[in-house]
Amino acid sequence: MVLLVTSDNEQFQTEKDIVERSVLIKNMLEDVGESDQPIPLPNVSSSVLKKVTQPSTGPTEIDVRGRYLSTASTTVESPSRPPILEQSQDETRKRTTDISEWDQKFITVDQEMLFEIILAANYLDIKSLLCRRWLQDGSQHDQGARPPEEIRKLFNIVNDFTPEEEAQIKKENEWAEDR
Amino acid sequence: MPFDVLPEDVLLSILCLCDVYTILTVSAINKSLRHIASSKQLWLSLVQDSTFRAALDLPPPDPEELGSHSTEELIDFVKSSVIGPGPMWPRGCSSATVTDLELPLDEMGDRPAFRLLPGARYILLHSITQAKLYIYDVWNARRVWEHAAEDHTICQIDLVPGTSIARVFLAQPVPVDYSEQHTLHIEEVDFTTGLSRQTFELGFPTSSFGTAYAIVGDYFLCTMLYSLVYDAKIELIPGHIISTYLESSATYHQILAITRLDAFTTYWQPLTEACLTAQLKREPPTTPITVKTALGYDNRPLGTRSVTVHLTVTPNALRRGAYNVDVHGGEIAAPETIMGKISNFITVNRTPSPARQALLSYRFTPTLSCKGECQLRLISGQRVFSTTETSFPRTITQWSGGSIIVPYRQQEWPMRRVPKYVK
Repeated sequence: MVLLVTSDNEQFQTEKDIVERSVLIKNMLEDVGESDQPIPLPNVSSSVLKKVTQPSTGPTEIDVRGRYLSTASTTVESPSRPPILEQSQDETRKRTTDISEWDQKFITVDQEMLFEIILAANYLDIKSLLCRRWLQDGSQHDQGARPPEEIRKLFNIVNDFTPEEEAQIKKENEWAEDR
Repeated sequence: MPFDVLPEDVLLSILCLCDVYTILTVSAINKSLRHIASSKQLWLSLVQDSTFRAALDLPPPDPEELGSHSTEELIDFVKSSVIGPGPMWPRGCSSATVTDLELPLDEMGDRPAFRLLPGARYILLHSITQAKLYIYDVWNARRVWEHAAEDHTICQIDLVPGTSIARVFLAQPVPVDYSEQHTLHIEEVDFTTGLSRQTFELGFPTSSFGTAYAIVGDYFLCTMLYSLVYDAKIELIPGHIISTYLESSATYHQILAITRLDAFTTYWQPLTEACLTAQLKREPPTTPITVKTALGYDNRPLGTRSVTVHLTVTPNALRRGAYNVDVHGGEIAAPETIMGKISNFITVNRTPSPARQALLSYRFTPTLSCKGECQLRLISGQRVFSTTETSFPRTITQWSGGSIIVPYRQQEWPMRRVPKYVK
């Protein structure tokens, strides 16, 4: 067990293999060695850390997406753990295609929390948490991503293109629409 | 908290995990995101991404060569790779560059049977004289796996994306010892070490072995004899079965249907010989269908009893998780008009019109959530004259005196006059 202390001075007892998915903490533990000293995380609040380390709501009975669950392959994944805490980048590339129920819940957090999680993931160096789900509807949309107008609306982003520029970009990207 | 709290490098890290379509969308949001989405680092990682290259059967990337191009040229490369290079013949050949990779097989003796696996990196060989199956890595001409195999062994392979692991499905429908036992088993192979281990084996107690076999992820699919509707074509993708079949109603329409694997959940039980025998004796449950569409072009149904329908399913290079579903088949002639009937009387020696064939391209996007609906969308329909014109693969394999040549075709980059790696 590893003791983590968040920015709001809350202490967390966390299993070592969960926290070691963070490259930052892993390196810290390697530098310090075995010790009972708490690890301070001045950039992460307790509410965010809870999200990052929380276990999944439970394994799904049968994986319907044809996922690889064999113990022999490198793609082993413990169903009792949030799948996006995986460490390998390659795996993340693969896994972004299947959004599990856990991820579904994950992306339904409010936007502010989402940004904080992204920032925390960046600080803790958990590569797989920095995935593209924040761009995705996760369900109903036929396209890989939402159209630009929808993303603007969702995140309150001001469109600073002139109508001519916008038309130009649309024309440039047209080839990808029906491919 | 406003959106711009996220620093540029974090946004870039996120984009590096996205597919091409998402990045193009992000580039159309605003100026600062367009700036990030135009970074060379991002597009360099995209053009070298193994999933992207495998979807297009591209040759091994040359990082140094790719690095010498500007972002615009790299975007151009993505575009020309996705659009091109079209069929090898009868036309459209001129603008393609060809990279030949040679696989010397001197020790093989006789010419083996071979098949290039999806992604065009690994090749499966079956040597009858050696009674062995081999997998070679074409990119570095290295043998990565071998396994004893009889004459009629059926072998299907699923390459686990982003790893060097493969699931190999082997079936022996013609028993060697003339017993009534048929076997199938699944090996898990690590291409880096060449080691494999059996993960599953089942003896088939019946002689009802079918014709279609596939393995994807944790699922394999075998059809049993007489279990298929007439003239059915079947493809397995993660989580779904895609099929075309002739509808057994008065209309005789060719149907494209997609079934979610989890629709079978209630029927799943441990797979043992006894259990399988019992199941085969029972009337099979009707296959639940998630999405279906009648195949037709220009108001004419596609395919009849006498015309073969081809089904190909490939991953979409721009949208991760989506698939291109191409169906090719003949059209039924339009109902005869009165004028046509009259002309039948007038012209005695009428030459029959050439068979009309159509190629329908669909995009299938599986749902990510459990409740949402899958999307099957018709992208294009066109009239074609032959199969080679449309469905010819980008990469083909040739046997040439003791070695296999794999020519990788790519569209010429419009920006460049003399491609460096043209042979």
